[in-house]
Amino acid sequence: MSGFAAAVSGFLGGLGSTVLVALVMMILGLVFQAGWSKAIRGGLYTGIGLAGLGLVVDNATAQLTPAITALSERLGTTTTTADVGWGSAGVAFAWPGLAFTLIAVLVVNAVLVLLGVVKTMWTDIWSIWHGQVLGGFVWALTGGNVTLGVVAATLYLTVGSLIADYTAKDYQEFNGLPGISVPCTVTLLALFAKPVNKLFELIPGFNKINLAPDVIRKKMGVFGELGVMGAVIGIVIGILGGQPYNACLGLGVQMGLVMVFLPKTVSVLCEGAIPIANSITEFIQDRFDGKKAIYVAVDCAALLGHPSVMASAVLLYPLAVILAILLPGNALIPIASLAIIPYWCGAIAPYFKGNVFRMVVFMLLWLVPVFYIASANGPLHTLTMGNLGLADPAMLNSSFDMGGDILGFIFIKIFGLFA
Amino acid sequence: MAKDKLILCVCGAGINTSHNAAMTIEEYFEKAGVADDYEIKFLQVDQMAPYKGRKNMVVCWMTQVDESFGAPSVQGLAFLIGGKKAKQELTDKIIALMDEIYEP
Repeated sequence: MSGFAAAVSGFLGGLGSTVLVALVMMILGLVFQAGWSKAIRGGLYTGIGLAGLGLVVDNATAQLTPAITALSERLGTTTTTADVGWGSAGVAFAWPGLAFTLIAVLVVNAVLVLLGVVKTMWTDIWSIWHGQVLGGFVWALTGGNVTLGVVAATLYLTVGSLIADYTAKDYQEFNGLPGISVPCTVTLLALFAKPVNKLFELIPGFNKINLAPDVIRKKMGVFGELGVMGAVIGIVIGILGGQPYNACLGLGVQMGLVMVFLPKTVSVLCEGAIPIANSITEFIQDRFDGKKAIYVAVDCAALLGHPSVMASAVLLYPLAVILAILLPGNALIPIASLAIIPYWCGAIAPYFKGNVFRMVVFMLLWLVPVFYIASANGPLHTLTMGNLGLADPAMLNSSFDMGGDILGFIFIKIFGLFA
Repeated sequence: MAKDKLILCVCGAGINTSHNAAMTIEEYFEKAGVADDYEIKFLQVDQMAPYKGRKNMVVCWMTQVDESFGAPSVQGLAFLIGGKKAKQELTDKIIALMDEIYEP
């Protein structure tokens, strides 16, 4: 397969990632019987979304890199990596293993469900993107080995479905969503949240504290909004870097732009991918009819309904930035990546029974390894996005979500042995 | 006829899941021939406050249903993960719910 895959990817690589994704999504749409008009529109919108995402990421790194370089020189810190947040999702759609991985995951999942090894049926086509990004990292790390990338992505997503089985009951009960499970690997946090909560219970005084979600939301006001938060962080970075006032304010608006427009470009990408993903989901549902599978996979966005989740997130936005500056040797100041924090809070909320105080403390502890992993992954993150034309390879970038992913880091280390 | 019937699709981020629901409802409304009467919006569960108390609105929750919001509601995950039959049933349920509460 490796010779064939390499030949195909060599030919298609010349088209550029935005054209390629449009073609791949169109073909997938036709294979899974979405019909011509949905397939063409879906493919094109995925390409347009990806191109828009590239624009925002390019702008973010171009604006941010000189500012954080000035800051690190002035304060003697090591924060030299630009945060591209969900810009890393671009890798998922741009790397040459996209279609191979999608098919491989669905086939492996179907076999495991039929054998009764896994209970989660992978109907959540969207969340496969996490594994796709990891596949992209391994592909770049091994000098363009698509096969290894596909193997890594498929294994990673299979681990995701096992975690989904393990956490399913807790999410169903806490969120009132019977029959679901969440295969997205943000649920990795759940494995740690459970024992840590037991530990928290034992600390006298600490175990009595709680914070009321609605009071926090009111107190944080507009600063709980990511656009405003981005602007504030941009201005503070400018001031700490000793920039003139007009440059500080300009950077504030630019960082607000990243926070507001990055999700919009992802939304356009989704608009393209949704009908095609849905036709795949229907294809699976019509054939399985839920006979063997016990849990139906949903996106982790379904876990964000509890009031404790957003309350914890708005407290964590500024705290995460302060932590980034205080941690010695950390390279990443989070801005665009702050958008992932609500999802992480959603993944742990059931285990702390919605106790905002415990959720915030746990997240701050969790963020310590995340920062160091995101820092260590910076060069690979940049190489991968650079190879795919998604970001300027001359300026270091990284992210929380996939750049700082602990499970992904283990995979990168293992597959790095083949490089 | 004016589009005075509103379907509000909400999820945690207002990016993908609720967008998916809105697009699927639009498609099934077109099939049912009622698309012209409806406006369909998607947004973050966090940004719902301005819609509180709006007339002729059904909320399609892609998270857990929040009864305290006080609007006619359906749990919409079937639009994300269901087969064609489940989607059709949920669409019929939304239309029936709207017919029940509708005041011109």
